[in-house]
Amino acid sequence: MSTRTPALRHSIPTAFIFLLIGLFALMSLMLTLLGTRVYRHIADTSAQNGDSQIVLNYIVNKVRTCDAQDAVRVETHNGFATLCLYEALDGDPYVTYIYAYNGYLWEQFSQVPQPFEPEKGERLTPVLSLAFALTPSGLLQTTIETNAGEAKTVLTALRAVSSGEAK
Amino acid sequence: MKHFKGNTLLIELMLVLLFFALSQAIILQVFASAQQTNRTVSIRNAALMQAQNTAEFLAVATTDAETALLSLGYTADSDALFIADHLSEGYQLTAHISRFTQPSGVLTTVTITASQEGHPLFTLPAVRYQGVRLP
Repeated sequence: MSTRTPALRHSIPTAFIFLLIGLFALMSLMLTLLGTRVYRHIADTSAQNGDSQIVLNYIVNKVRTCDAQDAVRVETHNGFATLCLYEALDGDPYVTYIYAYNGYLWEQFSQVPQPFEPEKGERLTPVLSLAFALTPSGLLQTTIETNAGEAKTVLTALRAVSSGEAK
Repeated sequence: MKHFKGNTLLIELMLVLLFFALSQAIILQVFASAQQTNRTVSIRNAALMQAQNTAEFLAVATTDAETALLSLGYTADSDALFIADHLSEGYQLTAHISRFTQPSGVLTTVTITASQEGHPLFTLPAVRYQGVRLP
């Protein structure tokens, strides 16, 4: 025979039900938070990889399309280290400048005698800094720093540079 | 009758909770798998960029492949095998050099293999032909 009062007997199953509902809610919350964290991490990593890959692939592809004898040069204009891609269209010389300015990657296409004005180019994608180095053997080194602070370097062997031997 | 209703509700809740626990276990596995895939992709990207850089460097190197690999930070494991450890980034690059010599020149193939914890990720061959200068 139970010594508990009817009110107490009634409240224990009710409390257990509420406990279960609470546990259910807690687990739902934890799963949602965990999912959010995992998703954010994946999205951030993916964005970082994408940002740097876009910039580097863009530069490498531009260099490949303009890879001719003495067409790819690293020059300094108005204090900006720029990658200059020279080409001739209908006999007239043109140049494409690629550079970093105001936190973005810029491209400017102009005729050769025209002066370089960084703000007149086309703004492409965010990038913190951009550095170029070209060795005499024809190896272009491009280093970028994305807005996330991640630095990446890509090397591009210029095909049109005569090294005195077949490649 | 009231007692019976209370038990039914309790059993229903426990079934729901059991179902949720099973779902949670499956979803957690999916999250863990997504995290692992994300890590593998990051490592593969970093390794691919490094392997590409090695191939591009070898294409214009004025020295032989062994010297070029050493200058890139590879260490010699044997005469033809060079290793670059990037363990902090989660991968390792190995470069195997093979040569095919003909009277007209030498075809050097450097096979760059990236691996993550012993499992190969990809292989990238870098081929270079050096012709013999005839008098």
